[in-house]
Amino acid sequence: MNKTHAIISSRTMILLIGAVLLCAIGLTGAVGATQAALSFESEQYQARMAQTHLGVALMEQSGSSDEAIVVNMGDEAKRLGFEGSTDGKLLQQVAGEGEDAALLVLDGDKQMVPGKPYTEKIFAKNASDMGEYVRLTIRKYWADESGNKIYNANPALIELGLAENSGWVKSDAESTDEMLVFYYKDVLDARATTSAVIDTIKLSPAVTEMSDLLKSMNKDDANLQIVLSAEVDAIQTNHIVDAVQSAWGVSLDSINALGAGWKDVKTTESSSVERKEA
Amino acid sequence: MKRSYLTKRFGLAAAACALCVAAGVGTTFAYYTDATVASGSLPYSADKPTTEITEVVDNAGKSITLTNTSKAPSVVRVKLFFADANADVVVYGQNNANWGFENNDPATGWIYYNEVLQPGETTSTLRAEITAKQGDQVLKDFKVHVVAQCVPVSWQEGEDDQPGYEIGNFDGTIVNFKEITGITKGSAISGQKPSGL
Repeated sequence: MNKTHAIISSRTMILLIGAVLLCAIGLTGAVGATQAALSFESEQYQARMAQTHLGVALMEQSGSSDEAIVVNMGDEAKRLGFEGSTDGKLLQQVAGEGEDAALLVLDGDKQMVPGKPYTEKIFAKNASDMGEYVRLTIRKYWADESGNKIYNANPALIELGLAENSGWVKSDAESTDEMLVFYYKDVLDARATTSAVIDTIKLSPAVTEMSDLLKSMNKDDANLQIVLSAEVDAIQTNHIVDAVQSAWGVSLDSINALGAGWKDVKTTESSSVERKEA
Repeated sequence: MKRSYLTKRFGLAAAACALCVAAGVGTTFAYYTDATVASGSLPYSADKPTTEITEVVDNAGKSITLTNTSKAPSVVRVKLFFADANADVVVYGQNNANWGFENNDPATGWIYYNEVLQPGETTSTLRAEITAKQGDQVLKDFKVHVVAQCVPVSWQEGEDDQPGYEIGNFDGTIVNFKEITGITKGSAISGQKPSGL
């Protein structure tokens, strides 16, 4: 008689099936495995670094007005709560436009009297929470009634009175009859305002030559505009040597040669450490 | 074997250094800056002042006014030319105190308006009372010419910290026209023969 043996005994088969079932259960995650591991948690430390953007605003006081107002500022100034206009308009000290506003700036005169100085003060204000160096560029030129610049008209006939002991230095190398460039001597601290860089505007008595110029240009319309524009630039105080060369194309030595006292300022007040115990 | 092993590692290290250096080339840095601009303008007319004389003649004389026909504010003055032998002339501001002589002296003959004449404005009336003289030598018909001059308003700086003031510069004759005292009572003037008229 031949005994036939099963290839796999029944016991083996049972064990095999059990193993497969257990694997399946494990794979599906029906039974979660836990594992203990060594771990260590340190105390919590927090370091806050306040990072802000530079901001600068332009201010003007003209005519019979008693105080200076902001005529333009950037978004950073608004975020910090500075109040003032953002329309970017000079020579319109009070509400109103066109001739009425000009009358108020000119103390009632219908137009500028040649030789008579009119109050026109321009300031820069630090509209941020960090110190900065500032530069102010003022342009003056003649335009026709439509606002088109008259290139032949002499901008030197428009005279700006520079404020004395103002804290500003003028760069003769960068200035022309039409454009004046000034640097504020020292760091402008956060939220501080400079002194006025100019305090008057007037026409030269030689302005009467304008009528002859217009005739030579065959211009029948003698109605002109005296245009004044101002731009203030602010720059960080640290790494000033590289910053001013990179951003403005000007060397720090040339600025300090004018009498300014610009130097690298290390900023350390913007960080603090808080400890939180675990 | 050892030589190729080291050569390969040195080569890789050199390549890594070269890549680090190359990564630094052309790097740009940004600096904190900000800028703000503002601009504005004032009107100015470069027009040369011009005026128009208006005379209203009656039996007793004439009433004279000037109108600024230009676009520029101006300072004005008038002068009457006539022969003294023909008439006596007395001038005064009619219902106003705007017309007068410099230093209250009628000798120069010029009569100034003591306010700035704005574009389009007309002066108050200067009255000239004309009384014809009697006699065989007096012409029955004679003329009293009125001549006007106008110049742009100018500014004179004050001396010794004194405030400046507006002036009219009539061919080198500087007049502080706002200090002119108006003639309210008739002031006799001498006639002059006009030259070039």
